[in-house]
Amino acid sequence: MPAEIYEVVALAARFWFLFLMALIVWRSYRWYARERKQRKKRLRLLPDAGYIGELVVVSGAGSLRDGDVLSVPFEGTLGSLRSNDLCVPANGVEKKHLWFSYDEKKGLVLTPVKGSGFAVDGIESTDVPSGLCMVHGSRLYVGECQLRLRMFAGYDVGLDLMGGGYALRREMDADGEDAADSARMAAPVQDATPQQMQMWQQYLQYQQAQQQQYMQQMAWQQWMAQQWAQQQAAQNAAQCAAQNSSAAAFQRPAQPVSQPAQEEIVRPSGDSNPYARPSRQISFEVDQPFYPPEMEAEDEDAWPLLQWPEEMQDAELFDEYGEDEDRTDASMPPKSAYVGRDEAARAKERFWDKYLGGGV
Amino acid sequence: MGRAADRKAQREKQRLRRQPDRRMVSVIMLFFCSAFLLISFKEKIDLTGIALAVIVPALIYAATMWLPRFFPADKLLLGITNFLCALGVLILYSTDVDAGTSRGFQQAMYYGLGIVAMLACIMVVRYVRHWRVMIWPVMIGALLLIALPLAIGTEQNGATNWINVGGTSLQPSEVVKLALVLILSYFMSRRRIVPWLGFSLVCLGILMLQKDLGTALIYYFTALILFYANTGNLLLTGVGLVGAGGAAVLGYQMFAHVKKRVAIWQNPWLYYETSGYQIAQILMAIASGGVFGVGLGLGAPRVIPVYFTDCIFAVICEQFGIAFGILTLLMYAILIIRGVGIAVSARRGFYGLIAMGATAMIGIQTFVIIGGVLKLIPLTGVTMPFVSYGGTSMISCMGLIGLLQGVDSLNRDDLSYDYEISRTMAQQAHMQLADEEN
Repeated sequence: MPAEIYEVVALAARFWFLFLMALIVWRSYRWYARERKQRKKRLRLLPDAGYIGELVVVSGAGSLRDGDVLSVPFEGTLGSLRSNDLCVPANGVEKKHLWFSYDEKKGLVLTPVKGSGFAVDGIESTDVPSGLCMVHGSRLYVGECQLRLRMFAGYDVGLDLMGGGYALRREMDADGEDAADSARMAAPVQDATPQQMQMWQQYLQYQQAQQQQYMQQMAWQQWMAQQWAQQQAAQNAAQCAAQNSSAAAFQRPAQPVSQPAQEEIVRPSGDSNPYARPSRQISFEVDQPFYPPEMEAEDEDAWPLLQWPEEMQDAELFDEYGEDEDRTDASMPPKSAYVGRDEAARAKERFWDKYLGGGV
Repeated sequence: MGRAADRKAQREKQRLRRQPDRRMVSVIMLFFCSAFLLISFKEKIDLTGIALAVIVPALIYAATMWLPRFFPADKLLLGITNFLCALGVLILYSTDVDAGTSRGFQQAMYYGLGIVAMLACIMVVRYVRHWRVMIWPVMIGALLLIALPLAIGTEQNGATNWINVGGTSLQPSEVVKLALVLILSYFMSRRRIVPWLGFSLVCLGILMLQKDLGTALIYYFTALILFYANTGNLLLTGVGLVGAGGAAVLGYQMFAHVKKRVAIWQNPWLYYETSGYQIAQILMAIASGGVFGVGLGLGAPRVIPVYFTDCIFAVICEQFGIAFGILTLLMYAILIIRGVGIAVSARRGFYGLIAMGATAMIGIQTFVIIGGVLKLIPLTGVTMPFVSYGGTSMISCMGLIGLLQGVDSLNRDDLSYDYEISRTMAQQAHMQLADEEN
């Protein structure tokens, strides 16, 4: 191309390039702003995102009232200053009192700052220099303040470590036992803390009581079913006899043969116990949109995330489990009795690409 | 029925077309395709230019739209990064036509290598879990690498920070940037201040011995930002800033070349014939470009010393205009804001600090070189991230983006985990209610 013509074309093209560049910057900004808005909306729907649980004030937290909750992030500091992640303005609490960090195997690990003291479930921090672990329901004594930890779903390592949690969600074997579960329960837990051991014991008691309850319930149901069958048979026979006007003698049905309750155990259908094995397997509906691809205003009503049923919103789900003597809600089973880490991890792999902009 | 299906398919196609990633990438591809085609017809039909007009947009499309299908990555970050890298290839190629060099094509190859480095860094952040064991070999390797130019290095532009390996020259301090971010983030998150401080000071000392002041400045401010991000201690951060000012005054008093640079910065026209020639030419190039530029492939960029590395922003302003230069700065601003957002969203201190360190490093480097070119601060020899010519610079910058992408993907994992738990619990509640009703 001759130099003169090229010069004219290049001079004209600068406006074209400037226009395209402005468009690129504008679209980048719009994209950024849109994703930021989407993220805000998502986080509004999930106020607990980014937190592993809550510390509930039981007593003596200065300006905090009993029953107040402090959301616990993955890592941070606890102290009396507002700059801490967990601010506890109580007597005896240092400006920066302790560090905490969530460990997938141990729970919430607490480490003192400069030798400041605290206790977890009666164990002093000075006795365990490497740090104390808190699990669901653990009590923290710092200064004059007492706090209790309530862990959120998916972060309750206490049960998880001890063979509970997601193991509860497995199908039972034909003989009513989960071999892998049993093996895990039987295996000695090397890294267990005293709190975890205590929790394990509680869990075992729970499980035994539960099994016993099932057996009684199922045996009773079986007996009721047999009774009903006998009555039905008797009625049918009576009707037949009346219709045929025959003199055939009425024969009582044979007595039910009692069977060992162990063999009659079937999975319960209407149990509301969160520690119970679920009545059906939960399957993730991968074809159903979970995150809305677009979050414009008109899409908000079409949000496909399941909401809690209205009847359940104000209901106490776990009334029958645990006496909540200090009104902290921490005595009820952790929410992850519903869902296990493996299940959520599997779902995460499926959903990541599809709904969080990863492609596919 | 058929018509309804057609209409549905049409709507789906329109929805896909309206997606922000497609809309942005299509404009970027159009930009580079038309720009490369224009230059390839400048004198005679240049097949390299035509090939680049196809290859670069294809690479941008593949890197922005396809890669996230196989590797977890943020498309917006990828789009901005790819745009800046391709802009570097375009500017270098536009100067190649007159100069008879092949820096544009080489830069395109470095761009491909940079993408590989980015993917490697994403994998490192996502899958390496035993940092307690890994960090010490990384630290020793980084120290050996950064000290290597003191033993076998060659001097370029006053700094002894290059080494020759197998016929190619490398700048180890660029590669060590990645290790610096990882090491400082690790020790900061573990509240181990002694190794953190020790590593920072040793690196700074070695860079001072190599007279690589620009890189030392980037290292220092990155460490300071990481310190503030982790501790929130304004007092000690202020002390660090005062210390930096004190070191600058001390350096000014001690080193003759620092004095000279400051004098050039204050009035380059006094030294126009000698050491002030570069900054004077830079200022003239920007001024001659004006608001809209002189046109792609026109002007005289080659009169600026090292126009292809340190002063490439002046070439952009000359050919495309100051308005285009401002828009380029806005792209960097969006990238940095995005990076800070990723750092703030991270749930673990270590990953948050990695994201903050990578963002800070890119941001500081951009400020140092563009501030130098615009005569806001004394000009120091660092590259413009993603745009300047150079393999090690490209690999280190793309590696930093890879670290950022890795942290972002972990953030998304965490969020989807929370979502799934919430959803499953709600599902279970529905089932429980249904069971009770039955």
